[in-house]
Amino acid sequence: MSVAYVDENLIIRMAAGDGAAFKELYEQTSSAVYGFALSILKNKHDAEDVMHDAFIKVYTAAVTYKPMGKPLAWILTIVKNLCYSKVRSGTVCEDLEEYEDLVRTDESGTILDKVILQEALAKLDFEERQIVILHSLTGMKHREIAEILELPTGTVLSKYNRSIKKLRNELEEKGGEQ
Amino acid sequence: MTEKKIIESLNTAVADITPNILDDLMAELNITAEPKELMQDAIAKDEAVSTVTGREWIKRDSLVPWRRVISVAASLLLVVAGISLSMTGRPPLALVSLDVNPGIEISINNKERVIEAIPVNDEAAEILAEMDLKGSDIDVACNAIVGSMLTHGYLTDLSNSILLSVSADDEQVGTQIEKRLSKQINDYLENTEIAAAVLGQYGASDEATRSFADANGISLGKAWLIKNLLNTGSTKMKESDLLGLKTQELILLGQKRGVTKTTSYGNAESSQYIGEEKALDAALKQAGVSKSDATNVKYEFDVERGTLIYEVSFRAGDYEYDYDINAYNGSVVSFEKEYEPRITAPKSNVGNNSGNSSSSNSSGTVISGDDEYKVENGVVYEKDDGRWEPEYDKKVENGRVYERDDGRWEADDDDDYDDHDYDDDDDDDDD
Repeated sequence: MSVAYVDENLIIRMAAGDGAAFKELYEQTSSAVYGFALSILKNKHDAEDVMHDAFIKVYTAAVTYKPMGKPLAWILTIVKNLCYSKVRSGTVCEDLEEYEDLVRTDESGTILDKVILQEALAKLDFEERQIVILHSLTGMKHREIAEILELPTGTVLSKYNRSIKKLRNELEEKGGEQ
Repeated sequence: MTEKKIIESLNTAVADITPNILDDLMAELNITAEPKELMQDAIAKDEAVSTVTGREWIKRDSLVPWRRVISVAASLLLVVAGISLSMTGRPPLALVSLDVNPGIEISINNKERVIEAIPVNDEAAEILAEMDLKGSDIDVACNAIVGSMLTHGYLTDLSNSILLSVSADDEQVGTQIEKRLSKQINDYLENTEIAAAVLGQYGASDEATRSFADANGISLGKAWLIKNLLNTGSTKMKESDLLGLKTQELILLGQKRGVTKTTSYGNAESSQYIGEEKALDAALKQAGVSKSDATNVKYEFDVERGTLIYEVSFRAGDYEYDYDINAYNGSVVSFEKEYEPRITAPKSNVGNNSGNSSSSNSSGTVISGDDEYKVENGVVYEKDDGRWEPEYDKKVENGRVYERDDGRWEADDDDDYDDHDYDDDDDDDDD
């Protein structure tokens, strides 16, 4: 389920120490937070670390949140910054084998879903992965994604279209092989 | 494979592999996910306050920490229900008003958390309908409200002003909150594209102003600003005029007229008005006076008959001109032209008292009857209780003191005086 809309009041309530608001926000956004981190880091463990740090940061920084009607963008910017910080620190271990594991070790969901995610992580470049994952998991418009990634909207749009085409081709090839 | 299917698959796949770390996070943050209503109820009780009916505070006595309330609420429900909470009359710490055109009053408790936010008009109801501020820190609540006003288009380039008012019994506490919130709102708005203005004011709880605000459907803060504007020395301003003005206009008036005891950031947008220079041009044109002949030009921003005006006064020749110029379109609302000849400084004949009852002394002063005068820079001064006070309606000529009376100069002594026929034929040019 994509999360294009997050109630700003949840953050305001969190700032007042409302645990229920935190829980609600987590349930609405955890997949987007984790998926976005995964699209940048390409490593499940690092993505989980960032997810943890991001939610702690979201809760503790709620008091400084400036309501502009874009709470999800605020959260995802925190995620992005934590990921970039992790990448800069040189501690990220990109594990290409891991994508294969997605298909083999995870029992839930369909194989096809896993394959598509695996292909997205393996075949798309750094920016393409983020754009496709953000659009898929949040339902955000290209303009909003462009703001988070600090890219021109046109670039986001063309990269998105190219990525979908690339994924489609890869999947058709895989289908043909199987 | 369609784009839609790819998106759905990515959604499902990520959802499936997303780890659930909620419990760990909540433990680390030391928070619990109590049901919202119970939590809010508990917070409200924790803050030892009150439900709000209209604008009346009904104070309750409850000082039980909310976490304890939650833990015992269920088991003690019947017991608690049997306890009658006494009405102790403990008031909120402060009342914070935010006015743009939406007007909102926020009561806060002694932890500076929101007890209740009350809309004072329909626009504010629209803003607050999307928020649940109860229990929020007042700083966060203010930012949330201002952000929502931006989103809803109430704060724009042309309507860029916010009035923040804080009422508290403790002036030190109220002033401190007002200054902090004014700065915070200003800091917040500095990060937006709007060059905003913030006018902060503190006021003690005042029943008369409260009644005035309620009777006119405005916030307490706006009522204060109106009262304060009426104390800025304008002879034109009327309460009814000010009540008809928008908050933006009141703030602009407040900034231009220097309402005291306020914190002011930025400038209320005034580009929709013609400006002082054009107001002067309009006045000069109507007066038939060239700009180079106009001296001692003064401006004041005021309101007359519900319209914002520039009061432009200047001097040309022996006349004083006072014009009221419509601030929106530059039309002349009213004007006065008065004969005010310059008082010329006496030269060597100052103190020459021959032929009249005035006399001079060695210090250059003029004695007329019991009064003592001197002339400095063309202005006559009269000694009053040992102090020199300016007398603009008097002049000294040939050692005699004259006083203007109904446009005529009359000698200010017991002798017969020489007539000086300065008939002011233009005095009736008014309006």
